Amino acid sequence: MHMADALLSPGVAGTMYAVSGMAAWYAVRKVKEEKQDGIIPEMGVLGAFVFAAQMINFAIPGTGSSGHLCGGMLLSAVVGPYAGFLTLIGILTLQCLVFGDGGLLALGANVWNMAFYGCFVGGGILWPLLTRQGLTKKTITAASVIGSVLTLQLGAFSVAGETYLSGITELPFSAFLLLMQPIHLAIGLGEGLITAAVLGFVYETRPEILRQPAPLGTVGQKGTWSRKKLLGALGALSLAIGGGLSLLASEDPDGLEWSIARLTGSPELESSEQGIYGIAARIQEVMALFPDYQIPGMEGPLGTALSGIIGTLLACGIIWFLGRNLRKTGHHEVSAPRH
Amino acid sequence: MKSLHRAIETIHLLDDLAGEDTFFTRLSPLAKLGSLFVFLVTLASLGTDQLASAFLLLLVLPAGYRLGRIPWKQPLRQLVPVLGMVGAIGLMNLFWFQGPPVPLGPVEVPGGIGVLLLLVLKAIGCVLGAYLLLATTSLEKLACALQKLPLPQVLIISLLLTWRYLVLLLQEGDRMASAWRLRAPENRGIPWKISGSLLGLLFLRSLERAQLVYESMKLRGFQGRFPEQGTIGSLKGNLLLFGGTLAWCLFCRVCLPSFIF
Repeated sequence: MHMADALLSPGVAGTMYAVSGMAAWYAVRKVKEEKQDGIIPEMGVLGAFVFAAQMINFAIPGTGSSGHLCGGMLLSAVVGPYAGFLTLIGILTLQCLVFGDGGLLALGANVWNMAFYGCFVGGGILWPLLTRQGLTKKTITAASVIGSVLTLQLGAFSVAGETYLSGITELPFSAFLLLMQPIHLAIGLGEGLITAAVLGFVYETRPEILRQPAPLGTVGQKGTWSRKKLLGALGALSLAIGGGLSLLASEDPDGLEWSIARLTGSPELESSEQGIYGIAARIQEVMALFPDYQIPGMEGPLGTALSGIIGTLLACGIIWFLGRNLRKTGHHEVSAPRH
Repeated sequence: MKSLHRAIETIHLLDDLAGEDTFFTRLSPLAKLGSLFVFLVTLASLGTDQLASAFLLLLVLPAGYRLGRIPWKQPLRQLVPVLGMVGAIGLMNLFWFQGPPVPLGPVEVPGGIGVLLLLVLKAIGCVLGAYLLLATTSLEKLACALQKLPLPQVLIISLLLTWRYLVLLLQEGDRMASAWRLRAPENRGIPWKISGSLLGLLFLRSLERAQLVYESMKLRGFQGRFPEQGTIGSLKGNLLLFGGTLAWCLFCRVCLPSFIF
């Protein structure tokens, strides 16, 4: 997934340097705060390990392809997401300078596409979330596979986006996405399985090396947000976006409508009034509470804002209801945390 | 595991080249890094209507390789996979590009071919340019020079340590892969099922080594900073390199189009 310099414009490359630089600055700050004794040599040697390990390709059964270790997830599981992120920056720098894998100008983009998603999203969010019930072989495998697949998909999406925004190739965004996403789904699955195998081996032989998830109930200590506070902030943000920012939404057609407009000349496809299409359209007419994001009888900005707020509250309610039921049904299958 | 062998070879070759005494190796790593950035940004900023400028801009590379006495074989080998990826994207433009023909000096070529050519030229410039830097500057010197910039120390030290341990771990990985090949010669690749124990073992050995390294570093008085050892070179030489690159890039980017058209 290493991007070459040739695919990026200086503007996009500079922007990616800036955002990756900010992420690196934050990671450096966190590593300094954590004050782990001996973390720097550990980062160096583990960086060399990931570099070497990524050169050993493994045959993925049934696919005829091969895969290698997913560095972000493994590093995050051992040294944490921040130190892992900085280590991956070192690896990507060496790969671009010594082996021509990705360019020097594209380094910021590559750091974002591979290290940021792998460590911050995979290691910082998914790993603690999926292993919060304790480290077991099952949770490690689930976290590794889901983390690798998801972070690779995000990375592949970013590659397509950055290439499109650079405007160097005329390849349409949708066509590039169609090329990138499915192939990286298979790669992510393979990399996730290998990462799970390695972490599973480490768990069996030296479990103390792996980063233990925060024990349940410790959230809310100094420096962390309590669950209530976090949910409150997210709720307020959702309402602000749904009710306020929705007023600033562009009137232009979205990506799919734009693509359809380019192909057919109209942003919407003409649907048949007969058969199953007609029935579905009539059901939608009856069920739709806020057609075209407007409250019937209150068209205009106020209607848009209100429909956004009510929609956000409805979505939260449905997710809360589903989550509560899922937790009830899954409660008996959860194993006790491992100490 | 040819890639492991190749990686080890590449690192040794770069170390040997950077250790030679040439005009380029005597210059400051920061001057070389700055010149490379100017070159890369200029190259990346060229559009399809500036193909002639891109061609001309790349002429600075043979001069650099000649001055640094760098053989072409290894960098050209590195170029192959990059050209494969960039070429594939460029080839798709032949079908998608709807724009008018683009100028290539005095002649015009179809737009799709123009995009393909530009991508290939940019890929060549970027790969060969980065190789030129590393073949004339050891990574230790480059990292020490980077310490003078406002970059986080933790990043530079981890980069340097990764580099120092890379060969060691590549060799260890190569040994393990060879052992597997000898045990199971009929298998074409390493099966996924054993990946956990194979890489896990390498991982645990690496971690133990990291702990030993840190203890010995502390015993030798390591306080979070490496001693500076980068060469500064003559001011005249550094100015010549940076100023020359800047002037050449400006000429190709700004002046050349008006000369031709």
